Parts: sequence; structure tokens; C-alpha cells
Amino acid sequence: MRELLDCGITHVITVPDYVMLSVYRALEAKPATHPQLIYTCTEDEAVTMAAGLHIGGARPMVMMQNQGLYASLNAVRAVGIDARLPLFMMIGQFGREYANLGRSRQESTRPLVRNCERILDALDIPYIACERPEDVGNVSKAYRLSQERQWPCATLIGTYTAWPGVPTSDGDGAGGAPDAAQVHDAKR
Amino acid sequence: MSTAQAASVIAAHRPPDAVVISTMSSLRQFPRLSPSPLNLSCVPLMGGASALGLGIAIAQPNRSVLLLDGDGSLLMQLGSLVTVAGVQPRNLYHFVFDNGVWFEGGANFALPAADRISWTGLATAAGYAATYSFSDPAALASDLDTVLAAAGPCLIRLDIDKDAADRTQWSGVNLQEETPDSQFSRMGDEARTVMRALQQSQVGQA
Repeated sequence: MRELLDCGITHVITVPDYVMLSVYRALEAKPATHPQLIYTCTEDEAVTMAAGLHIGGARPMVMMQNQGLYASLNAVRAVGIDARLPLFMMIGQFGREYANLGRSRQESTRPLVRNCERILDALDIPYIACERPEDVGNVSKAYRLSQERQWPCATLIGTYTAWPGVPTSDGDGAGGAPDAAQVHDAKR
Repeated sequence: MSTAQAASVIAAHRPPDAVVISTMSSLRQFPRLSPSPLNLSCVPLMGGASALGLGIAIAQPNRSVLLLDGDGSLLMQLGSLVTVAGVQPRNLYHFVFDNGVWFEGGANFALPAADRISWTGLATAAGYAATYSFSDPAALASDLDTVLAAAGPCLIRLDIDKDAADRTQWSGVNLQEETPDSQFSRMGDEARTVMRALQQSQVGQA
């Protein structure tokens, strides 16, 4: 959450993602000081709305599940690639098996997980993983990259985000970098 | 009424500082009738206009946003009616060019349930603040200033005669045109022009 605030994000446009539930809760908890959370009916709508917000002068981002990336490809192509508008996406890797944690996503047995990065590669969309304590800062990096390149860029959230009250590596509670300890908690 | 007639009336009543997003059949008419740095073409992105317009309306709350949507286009993102209603942007005016077909004039493929859809009914059920329906350009011209002075989100359904389109049907002797490169760069180029115009005016940023 601190990274989103540091980036000056004004709006989070989203169809809720199972992997980042605690981030939504954190956004809902402080509507006055955190980016405005707007739910849409589909992810392609979220992508296109983010483009509209950018054109209007805001600093939006999109949160979605990997399934949402699959669903929104034409919108990403239109506003991000053809129109060359910055588009920052935080994508939760829904369905990633626990056995794959700590390993390459390419080794996941699940096509939904494994092909997410391949799709981004096919579209020349850079991405940065965010799933370990040392990945703190990657959200900001991805956002800045989208702005610098005026192009889509993604952060792949590889495991459940931490919940409030559970210490995290950045000491910020909900929405901090995914914490390995929290991953183990989730497994139980 | 024809698409050109409807677009002409909207152009004549456009608030000068309004952002206007055109897509589908209106795209061939409105920008030439009302040239402006605040025009934005949603192309090639069938279905995207409603979300694009909603985003601009949120970011520019003190400026009217006129959204010239197609019925086939809106069908692709029917849920966006609900998203718009959820946000309740008072500055969003959502025109639906109801011609009942895809590729107006060029092919006229019938939309699913084209003769049974109620666009005003759908928008009302979704939670739009107001809905209107116009079948002739004179009535539209008479009432449009009042419509645009009311609080949105409004859906304005325009009853369009598909057979009045200024286009000859495509066939083996009248082939479809090649899609030019500009079709793919247009939205981005216009978006940057709109952004510059908005920055210069410094009005209404969220």
C-alpha cells in the first residue's frame, strides 16, 4: 500500500482478485487517504476505464487476476499497445499451487499460471514479480516503467498478500510485500 | 433519423468544453461535424467507449462528457451500464445510436434481439439518473440543451434508420476498404491531444 501511495496512484480500477484480498480491504478501510477503489463488471472495462482516467489527468492502476488478463487482452492491445498509453496492472496469480511457490512460475503445472507470463511476453509487456520480502519496491518499479515507456507494465503478485495485524517484511500490515511467513500461514 | 442527422444535432448543441467520445457509426460523422481538440475516437476497440468515457468523466468532474456509443458496441459491454450507474457521474451523457445492426450501411447484420431491446429500460434498470428516447432530429434539437443541463448519468437513445446511411453495401463489386494505419494510431494520437487541451485549460482535474 505504501508503494501505491508513493506512486501517487489516485484510482484503483478492478474486478476483485482472490490473491490480493487484503489489499482491497486496506483500500476500503481508508477511502479518504487511499486511492479510490472502483469495481467494474469486467477486466477489459477496467483497463479501458484506466485509460480514460489517465487521459483525464488522473493516475490510475488496474488490479486483476490472471484470468482477468486473459479476458482483457483486446482492451490492453487497444489502449496500451496501439494507443501507447501507460497502463499499470497488478495481476494476482490465481490458482498457483503451493508446491510451485519459491520456484519458477514456468514450472507450474497449471496452464493458467504458467501462460500468464508467456502472454505478457507475446505482447512485449514487461513485468516484475512480487512474491518475496526482497521484492519490496517492485510495484513502484513497474508503475514507473509504465509511465516512462508510455506502455503497459505489470507486477505479478505470486502469492497471497498479507492481512492486517500480521507482521510483514515492510512493517506496514496489509498490502505490504508478500511475506514468506504469510504464505505458510495461508497453506495451513 | 440518420446517423448523420443525429450527429449533426449533437454537434450543434455540444457544450464547447465538453469531451466527446465517438465510436462505431458516429465515428464517421461526428468528428468532421464538430472538430475539436477534445474529440476522442474509440477505435479500434468496439465496446470500449463507455468505460473510456466513464474514466474521463471521473477525472474531469466539472466538464461534460458526451459519449456517442453504438448499440452493438454497448452490447459488448452491457455490464458497463451498471458500472456507470455505480459511479453516478453527473457529467456523463451516454448517447446510444440504436440502428439495430452491425456495419451500418455496409452490411447491416442484425443485432441479437434488435427489435426487442429497450435501451432506456436497460439503463433505468441499471440505475441511470435519467433516460430519453428520440426518433426525429427536430425533437432531439428541441430538447437536447435541457437534457445536457440535467444531472447525469443520462442515457439518450437515438432511433436510427439503418437504411438512411450514406454508404453503399459492400459486395464483390464494392469491396470493403483497406484499414489504414491511422485507424490504429488514431485513438492514442487524439488522446494525447485531449490531454494537452485539458492540461492547458486546467479545469476540473480530480
